[in-house]
Amino acid sequence: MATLEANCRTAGGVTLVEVCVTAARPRRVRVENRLEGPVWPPRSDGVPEPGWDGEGFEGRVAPDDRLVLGYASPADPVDPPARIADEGEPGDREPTPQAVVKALGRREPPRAAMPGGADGADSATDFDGTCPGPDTPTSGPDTGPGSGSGGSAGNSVDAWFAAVEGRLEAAEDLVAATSVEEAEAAVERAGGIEAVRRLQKRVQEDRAVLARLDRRCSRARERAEAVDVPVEALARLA
Amino acid sequence: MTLAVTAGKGGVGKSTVAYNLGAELDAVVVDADLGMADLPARRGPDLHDVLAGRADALEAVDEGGPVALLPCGRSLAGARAADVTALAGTLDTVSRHYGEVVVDCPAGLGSDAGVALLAAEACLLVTRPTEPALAGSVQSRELARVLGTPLARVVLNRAGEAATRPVADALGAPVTTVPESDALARAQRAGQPVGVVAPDSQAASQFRALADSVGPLLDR
Repeated sequence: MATLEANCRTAGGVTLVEVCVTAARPRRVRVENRLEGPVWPPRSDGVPEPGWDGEGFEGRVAPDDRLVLGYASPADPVDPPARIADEGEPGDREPTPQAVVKALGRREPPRAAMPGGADGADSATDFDGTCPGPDTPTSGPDTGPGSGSGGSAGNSVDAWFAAVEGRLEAAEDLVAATSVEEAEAAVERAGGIEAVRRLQKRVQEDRAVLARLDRRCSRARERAEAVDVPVEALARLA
Repeated sequence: MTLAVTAGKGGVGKSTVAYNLGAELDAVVVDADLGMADLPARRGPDLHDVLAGRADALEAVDEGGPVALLPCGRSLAGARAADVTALAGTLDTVSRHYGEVVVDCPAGLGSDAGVALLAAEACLLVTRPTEPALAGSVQSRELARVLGTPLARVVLNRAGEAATRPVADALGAPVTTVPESDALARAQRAGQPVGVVAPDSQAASQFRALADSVGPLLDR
């Protein structure tokens, strides 16, 4: 439990507040202004010192490191001019990256914005998304031979294969379990039994898409092997 | 130390400032604009790979260019696979190894900007003397305040000294201006810092002044 002592005096129409906070063990404290006016915090190079905001100060106090604060306000003095509005364990309110993401929301591109709607490489453990496979017309017939091969279509196919392979790895991990403990651990790694059911369903869908893709690849390979563009003859004609 | 370069809205010259300031501070510039990377990229692992756990942070730093750079991928799949919460640890790793790190944050108030600000010891806010840019800057300054990251300085881009005072008053921090500059545009096209291409230009001298001003503030 932290203890606050505060007093104030007036100089040139401004109220100057002095605050001293002590505690028997390390504490996080929030000190808030009780004057009926704004807080003018201490500044360096025009920037408020760390810990200050519009209503007061938040910082740490320890038995051997008492917290001494001073601020000004145009409001009239009151007694006491400041109070401890909140306190807790040191570090209990420190923001974490996880808390920032929770508060501000994820900023990833929506699934619908992905090339061809394919879910990205993160889908190795995400069994919920739709899975059109690489045979969805991702770039359309306008992707001609001159439009390059390393573009979004390539990324989309790579991402789709990475997702399929991720699901297969997860499925193989479940199959490889030979004891109850291993099976329990594998189910946990996969995200629970419901996630395992969804995984099985997705792997079945993958099987069908891969078979279709295999047939399409074979046909394309046969055509690629059969075709030979007569470039020299065409050049003579052109 | 890690310095985040942020902005309330895009298109104000944030990446240009991060790159040129990185050159002056001899820092590693991390392109943390996960969805809209702007700094030059090359083949090899990038920040998307690092945040997806596919590459180590240090192997993704490219020391071959005029400024050491941890580039960011440009694919939507990469942006989707990146775990933004891993950015704090990534910046910490790079800072421990290289010392000075300048982070080119995404503009705005998203979690990617928030995590970069959280991981930084201080931030710079880049803005322009226009109403939309300044309104966004006030919001970004507030985000930095909530996350406990001190605003070291405001960079007023493509502006003269006349605009300095109202911006300093509005944002409550000292301001360095970077003028509209042919030398800077030339340096951009050449993929070089302006301090290398045109060391005698006013833009180069402003970036030197900016580097001098943030050093002592960060050491506080």
